[in-house]
Amino acid sequence: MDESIDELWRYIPLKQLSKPQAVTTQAVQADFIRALKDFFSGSSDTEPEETDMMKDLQTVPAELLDAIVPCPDFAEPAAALHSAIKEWVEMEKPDFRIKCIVGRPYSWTDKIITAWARENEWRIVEEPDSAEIFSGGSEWLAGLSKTGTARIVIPRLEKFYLRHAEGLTLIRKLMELLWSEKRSCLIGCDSWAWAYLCKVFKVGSIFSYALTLDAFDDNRCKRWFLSLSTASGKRRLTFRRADNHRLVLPKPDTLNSNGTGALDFSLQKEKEVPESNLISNIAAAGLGIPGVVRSMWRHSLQLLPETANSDTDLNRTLWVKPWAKVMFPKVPTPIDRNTLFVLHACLLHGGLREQQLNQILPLTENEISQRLINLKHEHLIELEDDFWRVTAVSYPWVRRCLNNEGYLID
Amino acid sequence: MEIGFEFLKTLKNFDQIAFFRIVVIIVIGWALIRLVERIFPIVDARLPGRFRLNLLPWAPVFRLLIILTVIVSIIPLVIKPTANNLLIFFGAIGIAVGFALKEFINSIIAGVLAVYERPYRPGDWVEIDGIYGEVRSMDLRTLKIVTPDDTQVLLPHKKIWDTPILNASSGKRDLQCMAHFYLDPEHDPSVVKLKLHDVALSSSYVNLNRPIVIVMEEHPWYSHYKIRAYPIDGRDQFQFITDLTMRGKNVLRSAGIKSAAPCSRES
Repeated sequence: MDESIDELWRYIPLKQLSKPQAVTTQAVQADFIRALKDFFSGSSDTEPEETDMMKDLQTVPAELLDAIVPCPDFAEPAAALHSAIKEWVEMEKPDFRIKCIVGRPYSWTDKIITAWARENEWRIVEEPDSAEIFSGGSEWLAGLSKTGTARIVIPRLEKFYLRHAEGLTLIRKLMELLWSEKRSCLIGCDSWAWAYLCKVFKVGSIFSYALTLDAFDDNRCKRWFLSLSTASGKRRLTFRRADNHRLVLPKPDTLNSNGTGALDFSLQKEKEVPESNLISNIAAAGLGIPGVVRSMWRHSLQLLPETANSDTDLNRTLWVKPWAKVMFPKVPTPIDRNTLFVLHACLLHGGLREQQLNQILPLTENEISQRLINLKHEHLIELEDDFWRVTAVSYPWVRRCLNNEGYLID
Repeated sequence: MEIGFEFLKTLKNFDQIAFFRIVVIIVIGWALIRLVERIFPIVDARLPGRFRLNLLPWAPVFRLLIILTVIVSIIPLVIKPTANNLLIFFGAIGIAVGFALKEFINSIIAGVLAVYERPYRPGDWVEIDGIYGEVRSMDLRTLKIVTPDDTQVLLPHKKIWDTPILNASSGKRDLQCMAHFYLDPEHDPSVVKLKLHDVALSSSYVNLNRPIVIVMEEHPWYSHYKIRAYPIDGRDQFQFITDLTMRGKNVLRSAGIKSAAPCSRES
């Protein structure tokens, strides 16, 4: 059996990262429909027809969604990370003492690295606050130096700078310090911050051996969605397309386990072969980023009202919208420059407080508040722990929009 | 007189000329030109910024093609289309029009050449005869420039014969901008260079895919620094320069670097 089947989470050299491709005409059709809608700001009559049953379908309650598509347990990806860097960790005098893990937004790089650090008892470096960043961070760096030779982990390098004329000193000094010290350091960095830092001090050429999480292709997505839905071990969920009732994921009870608990599609005994196009489209549209494809998958699921559904709670059918029918948050066109500034700043820093946005953007507080309200209304950003972030489900479209407008992207 | 008689011989008989068809062709041509003039800006506004300047320069090309098509369609309706007749026809038209509308024809020919040679295109930022602005459209005879203070200037294309055309963007979306800083000479230049580089790097307007260069010139009583960088969109050049200048001044002031005293500058 191909070894890659077993590795749901896998870390690869950054340069080897390739995004999954959509394999069907559905994706092209859906993109075309969306492009037409964007262009004419109206509706198009080329969408697939809605069946009677599709009209009855309802949104899945949040609690049930959390149970069907929960946030993953980070122990498994942390173990994958460990196997990728094991050799480096065990070296007494590694050639390069600093190892970088570059993670695209919503690939949970910080959480995975933190889980790994706790497991391996490496010291986690706390992030400086805005005031320390603006002051150049001399005191903060002195505190870090005092920690001696303990091996350290920086889970979110993107939180060590602000895109401000006085917000880059600390990260420069931090890098100089880490280079001069003789202890090992594992750094996690958001891919957008990485792209920016490549312009600030050529971080890409210094750490050319950075690793990243491999993209989730359709095969990985299927295995992952199925393993998430069966995580509790009690549910027997069936996922079918709402328009033609074809299976989208194989039924869990028709699959054999390969002994490690992982689901193996090559051992599938089922006669009803699930269609693969829809998941391929989700993988491609979500750029193979686990958090984004998970969010899109959640966005695609629907349920018949309880009264019409004879299945029990543990054995029910979930209906998956056809790809062209899934409505994702739309980036308004034409989009004004100030809105792009807000979106770009949020991505470059992996999320920002409103106060930080006021400090770094050439806009008034009122202008920023107004943009934040509008973007939240469009479901393009959300407030999470006081930080404004681009939503996972809208991330690919925001990224595409910024790319089209000529902004630096990851 | 001789060429006049020859010219009249080339024309069809009055009752053979399809005036109605000629009028229809002219109306269709005019309508198509109007359509191009309306559609292109609408489509342009809807396109992502990166593709904006790929479309706009095609407007004058389309207009020229429509005009040529109209002329080519009308000529056989007016004259007997033999090679000899065509030569006489164009010769006579050329002599008559050349004397009467020399300047007008001069600009039109320059306009045709401008479509081919592209010394400027719609969307470019140009300076011609001391007038700086964005090329908004190119008609057959003139180009329309809108200056930064929103004044519309019409310049005949014939300027390309004898006037330097300074094109800052040349079909690209961005253009190089400069922010100037005049500092007291008592300072550490490497600190200033790094600070100004960070000012440019941290500007929301800056195109990070283009180089940022800090240039210094030493004068007897002051040091002159320039940030050379590109905004993402050339239309933001003035806000970009303002942003660089404001933030640069703040950063230098907080670093204790003084501006040059006015009395110490060169006159």
